[in-house]
Amino acid sequence: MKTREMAFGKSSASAGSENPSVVQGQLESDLEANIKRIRSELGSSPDLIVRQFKLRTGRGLPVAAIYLDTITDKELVNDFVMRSLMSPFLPEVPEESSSPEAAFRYICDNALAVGQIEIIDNWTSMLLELLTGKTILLVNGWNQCVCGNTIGGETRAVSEASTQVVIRGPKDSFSESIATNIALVRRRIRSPKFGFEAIKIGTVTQTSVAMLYIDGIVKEDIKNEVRKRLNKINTDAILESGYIEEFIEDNWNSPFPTVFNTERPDAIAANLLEGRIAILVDGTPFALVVPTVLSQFFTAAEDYYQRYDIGSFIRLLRYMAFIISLFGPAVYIALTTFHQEMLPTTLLINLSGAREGVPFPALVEAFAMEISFEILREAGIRMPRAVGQAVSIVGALVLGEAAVQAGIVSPIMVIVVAITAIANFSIPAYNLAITARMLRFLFMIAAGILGFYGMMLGMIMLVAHMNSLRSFGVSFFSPLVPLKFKQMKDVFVRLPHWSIRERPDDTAVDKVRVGPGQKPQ
Amino acid sequence: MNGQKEFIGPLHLFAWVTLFELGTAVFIPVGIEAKQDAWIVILSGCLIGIGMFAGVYGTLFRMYPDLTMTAYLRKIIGPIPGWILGFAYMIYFMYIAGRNTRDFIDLLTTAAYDATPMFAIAICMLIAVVYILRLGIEVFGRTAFFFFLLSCGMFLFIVFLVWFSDLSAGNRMLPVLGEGLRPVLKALFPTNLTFPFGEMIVMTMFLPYLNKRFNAVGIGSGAMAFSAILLCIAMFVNISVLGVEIASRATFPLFTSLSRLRLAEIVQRMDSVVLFLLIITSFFKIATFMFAAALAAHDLFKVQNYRLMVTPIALVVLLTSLTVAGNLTEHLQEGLQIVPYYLHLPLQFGIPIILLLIGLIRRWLSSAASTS
Repeated sequence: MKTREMAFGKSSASAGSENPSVVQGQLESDLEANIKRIRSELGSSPDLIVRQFKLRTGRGLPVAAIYLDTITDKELVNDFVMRSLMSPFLPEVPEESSSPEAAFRYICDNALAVGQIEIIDNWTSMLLELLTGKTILLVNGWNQCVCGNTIGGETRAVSEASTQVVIRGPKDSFSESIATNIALVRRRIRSPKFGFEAIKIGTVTQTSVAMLYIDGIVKEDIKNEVRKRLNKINTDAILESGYIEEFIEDNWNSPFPTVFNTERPDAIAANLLEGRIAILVDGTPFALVVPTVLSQFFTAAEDYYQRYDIGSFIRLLRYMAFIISLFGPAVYIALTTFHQEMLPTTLLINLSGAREGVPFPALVEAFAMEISFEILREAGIRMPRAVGQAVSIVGALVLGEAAVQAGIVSPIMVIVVAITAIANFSIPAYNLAITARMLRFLFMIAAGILGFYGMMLGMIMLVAHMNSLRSFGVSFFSPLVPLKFKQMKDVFVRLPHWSIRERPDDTAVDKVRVGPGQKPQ
Repeated sequence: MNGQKEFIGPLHLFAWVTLFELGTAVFIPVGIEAKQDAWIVILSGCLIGIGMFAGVYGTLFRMYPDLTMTAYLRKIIGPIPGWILGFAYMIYFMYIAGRNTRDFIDLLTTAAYDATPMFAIAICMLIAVVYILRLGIEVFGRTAFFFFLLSCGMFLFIVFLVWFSDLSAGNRMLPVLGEGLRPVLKALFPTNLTFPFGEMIVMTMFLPYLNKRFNAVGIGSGAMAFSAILLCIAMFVNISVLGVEIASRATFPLFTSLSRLRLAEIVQRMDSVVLFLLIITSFFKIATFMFAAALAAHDLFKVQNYRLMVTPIALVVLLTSLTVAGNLTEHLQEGLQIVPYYLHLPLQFGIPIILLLIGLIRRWLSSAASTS
């Protein structure tokens, strides 16, 4: 079995060992000296609990259980460490082997009722284990310690996804605890091939980061590349997966995200099954997925749960929404400034009638409205819930109604802004929606300067730029460019599950996913 | 892109050549001097072009599969004359890029931007070209493919519009060869022999950069034939909607014909579609010539990275496009009367044929020397 057990404590592979601030050296055999040193290393932290007692067997050997009160599961510590060590029912240690070493072995073999223990002999990993919430057992006279997994403390329960909501489909989402998150994924993929690797990143925070994949589907060179990039990260802190994203992405100066993120375990499972690699970070519900192609950003989990015709229609709608949110105001500017002759005459009369009293050129008008809308939206996201009503009143009445009545903007401009905004909201991936929001302003400027000609040039440059993007060696436009018709069954539309017989060949080695003859008769 | 070998695939080459051939040729009525028989002019020009491309350029490419044209020039006729001739080709590519930019400016000014200065139109175009050229040949091919799909969609739309609107009368295409072959030949030599199909000479700069696994010459020839068909469709639209008289007198007949077509009350004034087509195809034509010039400069001046040469070339092209002619009439006069004779014919046909002959003789001599 290739999977490693939940061993986040396994000696910090990457950044930790290079960090000068981490304590070096081996444990000593004197218990008092060890305890003193732990206290001084942790700055006599008040939540550090050192419970000293004498082992009932082995001639009353002094032993200490050390843990951090705040991040351990106290019941585990009590039930399985303390109680079992002090239990009167422990078998007797033979008198002749009551040396500290024998007692230590004896504790490891017989006395600890925790699931997972580990023997450690150096300060670096011992302190790390202690800081992740494990309980350390030290025996006087012996220079090793045993640590038992008693990780606990406050975490949020698994709840419904807040950013990627579905009507039909599983309602659970990731939480802040990486162990819970991995459990959610593992529960969906009951395969011995499911594997993950855990490393610690962040010289100060020592954040657990896990890389999930399914062996036999994932491409080895992509896996190695991801591992290489993760191990290369040398920074003090990883507080969210966004930190990792910026360190490992291929094109840091592109407005387009080339790393996909999601908080849905079912989406992660589906991506793993396509041969992609998921990166889970402790402390955030948002997991990363690489390699990423553009079409992932237009895919919602629900596309696969509703019937294929519904899924396809909605997906096409999203592509359209993206185009509208990118070009909407720019087209309005181009039409009213440069290409009035392209409009049908009646519409043109309407339009010019509405714009008659507006004192600004269309570009200024559009900019004013778009920027005030962006401010409104930002206010709506971050303000306290209680004042939400006020913002919507100000936004709708003052900006919308009053601006038109005052003759500052035309009513058609308000429609354009509204359509653009709603189209933008319907892009399922928030980071791509922001890309469209930003690029929209560039296209507005291009349209304001040169009309459709400027927009077309901008479009050529945009497509060229997107063609130059790669995510872990996979072309961003794949499978459209380079063109692979066989892979197009799940890009713009989603065909029925029985017809998508192959996994994407950019990422998957083993391509067969549906057996032959599955079409319902 | 970092060090890895870039290549473009068969579809991308096909798209690239098609867009390149359509550039400006869709709008400047090719072979309209032959009246209704313009399509014969286009098809025969295409046939001769394919002959040149497959026969002469293709054979030279097969003889030197890893070298660009400027590089094998030095192999064939010696380092110094070859370098001078290569330099001439570089200047030629830049000059044609400048002329095409000017064509584009004039078309755009006539179509929609009568109040926009030439300089503004040219510099925006060249900024976009410089940007895309700096991204490399692979991105260029892929972008061409994307816009090829878009252009095909627009062509389909135009055909659909012509089919369903009652303005188009197919009998305006008759008679076929009503005045014999003479007008066709007159239109063919030399203007339409060299434009647009003779301009495939520029592709000799890119052939070594293509993926070797497929037959580049075959794909290129196929794309030429395909673009010839598209040009014929455009010609059919022009003549069947406008009639020969108006079509031959209008500066840019496709605009005029599309602005007349209408379907119900919704689809009208569809010349905007032609505007998009104009921008896309001209962009790729100008970019191709500048790309060729940059690769030539990269080869001739031993510059490590051709990307360094893109911006200076763009500046030269910008100035050329603005100063090449005082007005549209002068520009067209030069383009139709002078350039074909003194530039296109020798550089597209004369020199490559001579090169091929010298190359073949050299090969024959060396193989004769090695066997004896």
